[in-house]
Amino acid sequence: MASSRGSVRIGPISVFSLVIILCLAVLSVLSVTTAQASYSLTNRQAAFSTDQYQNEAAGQRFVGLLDQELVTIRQGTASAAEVRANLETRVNEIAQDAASRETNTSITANALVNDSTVLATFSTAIGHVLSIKLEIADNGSYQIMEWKQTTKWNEAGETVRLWSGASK
Amino acid sequence: MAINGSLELGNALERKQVERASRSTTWHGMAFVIESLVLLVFLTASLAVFSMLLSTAHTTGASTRELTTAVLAAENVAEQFSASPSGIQEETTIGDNVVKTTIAPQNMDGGTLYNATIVVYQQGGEVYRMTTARYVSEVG
Repeated sequence: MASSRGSVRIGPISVFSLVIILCLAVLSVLSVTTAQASYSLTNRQAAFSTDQYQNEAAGQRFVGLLDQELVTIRQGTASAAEVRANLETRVNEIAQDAASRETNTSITANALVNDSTVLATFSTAIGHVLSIKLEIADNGSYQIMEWKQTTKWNEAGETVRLWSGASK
Repeated sequence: MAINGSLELGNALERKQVERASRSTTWHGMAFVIESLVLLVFLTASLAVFSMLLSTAHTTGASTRELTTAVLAAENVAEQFSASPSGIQEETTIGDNVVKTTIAPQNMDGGTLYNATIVVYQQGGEVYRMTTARYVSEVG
């Protein structure tokens, strides 16, 4: 009698309900995780776009500052050779100046002059790289030969080590 | 006498069995009611938690959708601005997104640098913002 009163066995309806609750719990957790992952990814995408267009703005500003230097050729106050020689020493400074005016993101700029060609790269912390190639003409005009936005692949990371035991 | 005694014993045993059966039925009935109540409470609490989780997931999903469309709308306007910096509309509506573009031209010695701030609104609230620029030289 004591044993029949003491043991309350769980009924089939309760077992069925518990299984349903378990399934619902798993589904809820999965849906929250997936939603959160999508949101993080979208935020990252938004940050990427912002970064990309700021890099673009730095590049455009660089072209503007470079064109300021070329005005002297167009106005006839300096020869093309003089301006090129001046640019050879100052072009990197101009690129860094253009990059520093984009205050919301940190952009690293490098530029060099090779004969009549100006090569510049603007890199952001996220990994966007804008490569610019300009051809300076003797009359003080310029032509954009290359304007390329690329993204560095930073996902490689360190390799996962499954076994850390000593190898003999 | 002996027969009477055994009959009385039999009756007493029978009464005891009936009593036991009745007590057992009452106990099982009570156990069922308790189990049902516990199950109901547990089910209600679980469903409340799951509803909250699913509602959070739904809200996050909606925010994701809003941000995705806002970024796409801003990029569309940014590309239009890049193609024609002076011919861009101040306000454009793309789907649910209202894209407001503020252009600040900056005169330079060799041309004009157009700075654009593109802000995307949805239902009156700001969702996404970006800045870009486009230089237009006087020599083309």
